[in-house]
Amino acid sequence: MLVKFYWAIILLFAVILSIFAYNYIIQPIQKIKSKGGVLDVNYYQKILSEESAYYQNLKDLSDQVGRIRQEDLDKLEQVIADDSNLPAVLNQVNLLVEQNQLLLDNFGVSSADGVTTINLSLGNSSYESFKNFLYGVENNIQIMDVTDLNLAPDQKSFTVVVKTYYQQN
Amino acid sequence: MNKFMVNLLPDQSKKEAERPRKKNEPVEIKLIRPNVGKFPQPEIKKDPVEHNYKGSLIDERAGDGKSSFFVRLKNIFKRSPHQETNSAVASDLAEKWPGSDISQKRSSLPSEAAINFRKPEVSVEGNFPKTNNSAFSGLRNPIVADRHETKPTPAVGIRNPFLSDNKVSSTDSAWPKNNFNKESVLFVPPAEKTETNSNQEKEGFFPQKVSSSTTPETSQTKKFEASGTNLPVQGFPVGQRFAQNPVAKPVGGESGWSLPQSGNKGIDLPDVSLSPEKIMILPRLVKSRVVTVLIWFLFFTIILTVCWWWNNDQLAILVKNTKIFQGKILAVEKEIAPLIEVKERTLSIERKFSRAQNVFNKHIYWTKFFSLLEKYTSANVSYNGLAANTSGVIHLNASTVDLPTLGGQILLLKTASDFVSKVDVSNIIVKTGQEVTFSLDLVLNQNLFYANR
Repeated sequence: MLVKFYWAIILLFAVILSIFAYNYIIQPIQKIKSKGGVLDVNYYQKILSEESAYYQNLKDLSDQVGRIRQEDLDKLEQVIADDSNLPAVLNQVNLLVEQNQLLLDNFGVSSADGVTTINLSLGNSSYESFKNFLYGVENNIQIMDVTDLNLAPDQKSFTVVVKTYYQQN
Repeated sequence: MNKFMVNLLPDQSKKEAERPRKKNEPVEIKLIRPNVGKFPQPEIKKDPVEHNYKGSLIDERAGDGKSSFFVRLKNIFKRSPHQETNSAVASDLAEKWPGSDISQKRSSLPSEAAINFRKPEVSVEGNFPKTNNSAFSGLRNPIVADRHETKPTPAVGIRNPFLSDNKVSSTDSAWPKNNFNKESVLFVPPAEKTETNSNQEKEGFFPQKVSSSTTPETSQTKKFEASGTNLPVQGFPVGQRFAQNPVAKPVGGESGWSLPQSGNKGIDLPDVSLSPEKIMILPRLVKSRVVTVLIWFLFFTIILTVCWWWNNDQLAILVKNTKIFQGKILAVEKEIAPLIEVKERTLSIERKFSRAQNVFNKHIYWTKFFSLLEKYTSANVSYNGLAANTSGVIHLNASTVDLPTLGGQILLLKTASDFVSKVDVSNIIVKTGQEVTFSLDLVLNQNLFYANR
C-alpha cells in the first residue's frame, strides 16, 4: 500500500497538516489579530487616541470651569436648587406674604419630578397688593411661576398656585 | 488476468517466419499488454502499450502445455546508477504480469531481464508452437542449468552448446556475457518433419538431431560439429502458427523430442523462479518509498514548524505592541482620573444651567397681563373677580354704567391686537338706573405670559 499509494499518503498528510495548521495555528492567531481581537493593535491605538482626545477635552473643560465666577455659580444654585429644599421655599413665600401685608389663610405644598407646587390662599388683600404679590413671585431669585389664580370679586382675598423648580438628580 | 501476446516475429513474411532459428538468435519480442498506467517510463522509452524489445530466445520449459518459455530481453533496463529505478521496473513487471518471473542479471548485464512466462493463468499468444515438443524444448537456460547441474534436463534434443558434453558450470560463465547474439545454436525440428514445409506446418517443429546433410552450413554448425556436439541443422520457425498441436514424443526417445511432463516421476522441472531477487527488489522499493514519504513528511513538518514559529513571532510582536499601547492608555487614564471630578461638576453646572434656561424661557409674567388689561379697559368699567390660568383663556365678570360704555369697551378690546385675539361678551344685564353687568371671555395672544416675546 505504501509503495502504490505513497504519493496519496504524502498528499493526505499534507492536507491533514494544512487543515491542522489552519485550524490550530493560523486561524486562532488571525482571530486574535483581527479587528476587535485581543491583540488588535489598531484597536488599542484607537483607544489611546480617543483617551488622549478625551483628556485634552477634560483639560479644556477644567480650564473653562475654573474661569466661572463663584458668584455666578451661587446665583445659579439659587435659581435652580439642588433639591426641593422646602424650608427655603417656605421662607421665600412667607417673605412675599409679609412684604405685601397679606394673611396666609391656607397653605399646601408638594414636590414631584423636579417641581414643587405650592397652593396659597391669601387674605387681607387688595388689587394692588395682589399685583405686588404677583410681581414679587415673578422676580423671585428662585424661579416661581403662578399657574392659576383666582381673585375674589371683593378683591379681599385670592388664591394662587405657585410652582418652583429644582434640579432633579 | 493480464493478457499479453508474445510475438517473436512481428510483421514478417511467412518465409521469414519459417526460417530456422538458432538459439540465442536475436529476436524481437513484441509485448502487447494493457496499459499499466504508472510504468517507469523514464527507464523504458517505448510506447506504454506496445513495447518492442530485442532479446534472445533462451529456453523453454513447458511441461504443462501452457506454452511456457523463457526469453531474455535486452535493453529493458537501462544501465543506470539509480538501481532503485531498475528495481522498480522489475517490480512493476512482476506485479503487472503475475505469470512471469523476472530477474535482472545485474552483475554482468544490468540492462537485461530474464522473463519466464510459465504460469498457466498467463495467456500467451504468439507464433510459436504451443506444445511440449516446441522448438524451445531443445534449449536450456544456462542459469537454470547451473542450478541443476546434477540433474540435466532429460529429453532435451539439443543441448546448450555452452553446456556441451554435459559439462556443468557452477557459475554464470556458462552463459556468455554480452554475447548472446554472437553465439548461436540452431533450433531444429524433428528430422522427419523438416523435409517439407508442408509437414512442418502440419505437425509442428520439433527440435531433434539432424544430419549434417540437412543442416545449413554455417560457421556455428561447423563449430559444433567440430566439438562433437549433436548439432541442430535446422532452426525453428519461430512465429509460425501450427495447424495442429503436435503429439509429444516419449521422454527419452531416441528420435523424438519432448519436454518433461510435470506429472512424471523422477523428472525435475527446472526452477526458473527468480523470486529471491524479486524479494530483494521489493524491500528496496519500499525503502525508497518510505524514505520519500518520510522526506516529504519532514518537509511538511518543517513548513508547519516555520509557519508556527513565524506566527508565534508575529504574536510576540503584537503582544509587545499591545502592551506598549496598554501602558500608554493606563498613563493617560491616570491623568484623566483627577479630572473626572471636574467633569462631574461641570456636568452638574451644565445641567442646572440648562434647566434654569429652560424654566426661565417659560417663566410666567402675570403683571404683563394685568398691565395690558388695565390698558384696554375703559375708565367706567370694573371687574368683579378674576379666574385665570395659563391656558390662554380668561373669563372676567365686569360691570359698567351704561350700554354705550360697554360698547366702547368691546371696541377697545377689539382693537387690542397685542393683547387678545378674540373677545366674547355675554350675559349682558342692564339694571335700570344703576349699571350694566356682562361677562368677557378673552382669548389671549400666544406667549403673552412669557418675557421677551
